[in-house]
Amino acid sequence: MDEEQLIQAIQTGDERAFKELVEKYQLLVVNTCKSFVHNMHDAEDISQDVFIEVFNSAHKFRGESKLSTWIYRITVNKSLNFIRDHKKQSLFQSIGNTLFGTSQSLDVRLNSYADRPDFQAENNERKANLYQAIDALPERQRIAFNLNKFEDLSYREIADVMQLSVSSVESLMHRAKLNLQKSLYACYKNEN
Amino acid sequence: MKHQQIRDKLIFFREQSLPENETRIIQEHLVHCKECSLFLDRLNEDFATIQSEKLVSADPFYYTRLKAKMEQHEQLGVTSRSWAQVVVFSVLLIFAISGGIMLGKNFSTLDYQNETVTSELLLFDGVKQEPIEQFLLTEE
Repeated sequence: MDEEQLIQAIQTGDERAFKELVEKYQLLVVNTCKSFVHNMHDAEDISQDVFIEVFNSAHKFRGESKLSTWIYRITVNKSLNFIRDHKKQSLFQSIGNTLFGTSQSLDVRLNSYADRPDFQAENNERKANLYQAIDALPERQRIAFNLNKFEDLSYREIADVMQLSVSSVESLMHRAKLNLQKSLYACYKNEN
Repeated sequence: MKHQQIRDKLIFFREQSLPENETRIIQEHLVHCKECSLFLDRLNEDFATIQSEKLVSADPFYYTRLKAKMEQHEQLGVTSRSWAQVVVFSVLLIFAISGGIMLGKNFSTLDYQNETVTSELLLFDGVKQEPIEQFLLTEE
């Protein structure tokens, strides 16, 4: 089935077509989610929400862009929403801890990678520093950077996903690289 | 180019996206600048980490887990819909009751002015209006 047939079949509720789409785009979606949350468990959770959204909104796909572009767009939005929700949750939690003096921590995964057990187990402080540097990038720079470096998308493809011009993506990527280099250099100086 | 200017271009140098003359200057600088050379190695390692983080094979049980989540979502959707119905009906009931009370207050036929007149009527003092002497005289 080609993309058009696949999406038409999903629009009619064809589960076999949906399974085919999931199998085709599973790695793309999971890897993109992982590039934002840096955690396999969360990435799978978000990716499942992405496919549920694809199934429920298949009728909204007009075929004006490539199917993969549409799926990338949903994936990026879901990942960013997840990060925002967890930031809010962490904020409320820290306020609660300050007010009620509890030291319980339900989820600190987005605050400090160095404190996370999986990163401690790997003893990979440098990987943690890299992720923190990526996460510190402004949102649009981070989207462009992640799609380019983790997903190997061209600037043209990123421009389609982000609905920007290619020159805007070039500018975002240039600034992202400069900012990332600055953060990594600061880490490098601290280590030495 | 100064040391700092070169250092700021290392990320572009590693991607070979600089003009030829700048690339040559940086190559020459790297030969004798240990700091820039080590930082470039560090950048290369960090970017290699990004590549190594990618999943390369699909999980065969992914679709099964996805279907289970979809069914769970559908059930939750039904539950939340029934809760929403209860909430909507409760709100409508509250509005209806308070609307009834308001209508009753604003459009009641019992006028407050009439109530004053009634109270005046109730307080009518017959003795004051018609003294007993007058009454007796009339009786005669």
